[in-house]
Amino acid sequence: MGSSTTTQVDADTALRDAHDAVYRWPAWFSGFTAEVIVDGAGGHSRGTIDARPGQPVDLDIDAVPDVDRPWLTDQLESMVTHRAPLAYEDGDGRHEKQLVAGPGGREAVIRVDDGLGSRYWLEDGAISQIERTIGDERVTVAIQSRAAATAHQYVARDITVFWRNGDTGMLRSLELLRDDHVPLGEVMVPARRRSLRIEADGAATVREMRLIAHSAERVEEA
Amino acid sequence: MRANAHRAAEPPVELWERESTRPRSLATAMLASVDAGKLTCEALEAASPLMRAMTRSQIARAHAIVRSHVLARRSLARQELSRRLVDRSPE
Repeated sequence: MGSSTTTQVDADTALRDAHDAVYRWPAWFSGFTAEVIVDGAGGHSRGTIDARPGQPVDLDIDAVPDVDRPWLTDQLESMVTHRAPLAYEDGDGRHEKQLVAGPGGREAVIRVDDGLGSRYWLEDGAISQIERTIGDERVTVAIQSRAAATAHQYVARDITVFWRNGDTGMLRSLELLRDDHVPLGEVMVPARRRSLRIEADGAATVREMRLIAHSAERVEEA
Repeated sequence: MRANAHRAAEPPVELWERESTRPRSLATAMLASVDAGKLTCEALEAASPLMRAMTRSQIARAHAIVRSHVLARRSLARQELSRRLVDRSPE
């Protein structure tokens, strides 16, 4: 086996293990409904959501101000998307990848040939940072802390997201997130996301959304 | 959200018509991926050449179109299911 092939296998194994350590819903979980409470830049509002894996979140919250609606929609869908089942073979497992730094050590950097220029930083077998190009921006997501979801899996708890100009690397904005999850039967579901977002001109926005009164048609495996 | 169903069922034509060419093109490509049964990550990767040099706002607006279409379809499917159940009712 040549060294480039070895590197590919090492990268694939390391990234698979790191993905497997991220908590995702079991395949039988069809989603949940909940009440959502938002304290955003435009004030306080309350509504309901219907969240299903692999689907846009159905949000019924007419009173939410326009200044907060896109943020709320994006955050809900982000939290649901990251919990939805996704086999490694259907995600990063489809692509060629290279271990570009730190092979075999405590830290590793893996480049994935997915057309988005994705890179993963792994630390002690867990994903500590993800970077990819979306449109004209380079987006970096740094996982600052984690919370246990099962004996072998975690959910990210403190996250920092950087948006930089894709050409110059200049910082455009950053967002500090803190997430909480709660059990619903045998699954863990989003309960809260707090956000502090700072733009390049210094403008800062604090927002929080809470999900309460979760309900699911089926909450534990038969 | 059930009370919202009648609004979601209306095709989001206004959202589409007031949008500029690039977000429309991106939304069209992403909807094609959704129709082809692709997962979110696959749809994003398939659309990456179109996204090149697009702004965060343009991409967000394309996502809004896709989201509206998918939710409208889901609502229509619910209504169709309800109609069939009523049709099959012995009453």
